[in-house]
Amino acid sequence: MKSSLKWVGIVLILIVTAACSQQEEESAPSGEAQGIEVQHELGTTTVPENPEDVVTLELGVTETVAALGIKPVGVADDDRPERIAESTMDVIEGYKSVGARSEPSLELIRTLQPDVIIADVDRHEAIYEELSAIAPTVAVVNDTADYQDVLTATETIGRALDREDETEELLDEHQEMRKDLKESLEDVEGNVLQAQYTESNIFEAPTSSFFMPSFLEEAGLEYALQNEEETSEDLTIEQLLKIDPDTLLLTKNEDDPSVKDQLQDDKLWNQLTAVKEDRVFELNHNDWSRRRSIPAVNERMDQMKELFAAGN
Amino acid sequence: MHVRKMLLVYGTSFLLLLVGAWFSLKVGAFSFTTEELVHFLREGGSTNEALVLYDVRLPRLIITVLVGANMAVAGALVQSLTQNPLASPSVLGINAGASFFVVAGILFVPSLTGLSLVGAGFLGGALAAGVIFLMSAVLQGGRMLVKIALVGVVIQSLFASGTQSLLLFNEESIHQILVWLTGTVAGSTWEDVEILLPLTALGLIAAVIMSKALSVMSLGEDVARGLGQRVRLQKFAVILLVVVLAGASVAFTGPIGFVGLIVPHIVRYLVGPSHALVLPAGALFGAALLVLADVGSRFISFPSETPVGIVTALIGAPYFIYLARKTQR
Repeated sequence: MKSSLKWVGIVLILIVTAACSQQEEESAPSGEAQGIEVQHELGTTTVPENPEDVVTLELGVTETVAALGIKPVGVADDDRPERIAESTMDVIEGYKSVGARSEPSLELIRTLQPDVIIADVDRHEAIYEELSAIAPTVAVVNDTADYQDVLTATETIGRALDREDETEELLDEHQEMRKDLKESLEDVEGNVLQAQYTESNIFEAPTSSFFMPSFLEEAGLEYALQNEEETSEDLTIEQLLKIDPDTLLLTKNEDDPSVKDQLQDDKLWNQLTAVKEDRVFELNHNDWSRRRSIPAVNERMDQMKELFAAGN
Repeated sequence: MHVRKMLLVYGTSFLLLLVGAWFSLKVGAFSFTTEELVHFLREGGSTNEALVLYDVRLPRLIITVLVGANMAVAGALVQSLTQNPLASPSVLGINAGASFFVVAGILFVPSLTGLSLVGAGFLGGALAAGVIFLMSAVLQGGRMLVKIALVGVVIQSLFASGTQSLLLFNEESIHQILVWLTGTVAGSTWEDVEILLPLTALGLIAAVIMSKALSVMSLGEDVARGLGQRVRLQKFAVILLVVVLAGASVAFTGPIGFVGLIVPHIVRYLVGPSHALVLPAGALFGAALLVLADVGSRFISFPSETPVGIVTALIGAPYFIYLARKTQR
């Protein structure tokens, strides 16, 4: 009886000391760090003031960081630097690749000793703890983002980088440009659909809850495929004909053959209003779909004016 | 009595196929009344509706029928070749080989589109099957059937991991391939029909001609040899047939799973083990099943497309588990 009590006592003491020492460990760094609290999609993170070494794990994030004048030390670029837009590349040239966005190398990120990591909610939620163990990590919506998500993400990134003034400037400039675009698109009649033609004769169309379509709507255009839940739908020529958009924006990779040429003898394709009216435009898939950021859409506005001015 | 049962089985399958075909023509983004359907089918026309019916729905229906029949017959052939009730054309590496070649084609040769890509898929399937057959013929020791199954698994995983790594390193380009990889009959064209129809006709006729030899073979190699069958040659012929039937189908629609696995079982349960009966009934039933699955797939995210491979997997996976448990007992 006595000895068992002794053991209970020892165990209790051990537990208490262990808990105390753990608490000490936890409270020590947060007491030191005088940082900025950033609320983001996966919680609240304290980041150091004026961080210098930033790692970005999503393309749109990289562009936004570059637009705020910061050169990230590490970028998840899928080892395909050619997909990074020129305007961004000019700023970030010389960065270190940390691998694919879907599977960034934690080891490489650790060796860069970043001050802040900016990740994507959908892609990196599973490794959020590991990333946070390396450096304060802020997560934003980008992979499945619509326009509003990207605006929010831009603000979050600005706060995480301690560049709120620059961010405001970037967003103000963008809103000016968007208003200007909206005015020049005021008289555009008819709706518009964006799609990528794929093997097996299927058109993969982003819906109104995806980035570029939701921006087109913000710019005053009518987007032809509404869907609150899914960001993309698969359409055969039949469904495309049912929607029958007045303007069709076909995105394709640079080295892919022309879709218009492939389909020129297709009877149903030739029934499309957009085809009859010569309102089918082949556009760069990278620019129109993969790049989800404010600077990216700023770069597209002149092209949008051209495309829709031509129809009037 | 026996004849009446046969009539019942064939009659029911045919009826199912007809019902499926009717809905397959009727259901979609454009809807037709029965009169319109009959009218457009008889008279044609140049309205959007008539064109959709004639250039989208009809080729899609025909391709679905052909692929369903091919996969079912190819499945029955592979099952009797390997004497393994859980085998399907994928055991010969056809799905894995075709998938690897198509994915590699899309990624590395962007100019490869349409029929040339289908050709690449067929080549890939044929190559995988050829490698598996040659390796199991050349490797010393063991029974041929066991070797085919084992080598098949190895080659299959080799191609599958190849495909996986291609997909992993080209993540942004893959969405368009994923639809094909799940297996879809959406977007079938008359061009596809022109190629697949003669291949299917030849393959199915050849399969029926071989059915007697197949039945003898399923008694076991030694018995077959004793009865004067040229076993090795026959095996080669069966593999060739499977490559033509399943390989061509997979190349057009992507690997649609489970039809080749479950249809032979259902049919064998209904008409007995004789290949002369199993093969035609399987073709009919496989076609009906896939047509109905395709109609079902259209409702999943109506009016957009959902690959039919998802529906066959939904039906097939539980049945497969049931089958595996039954075989164990």
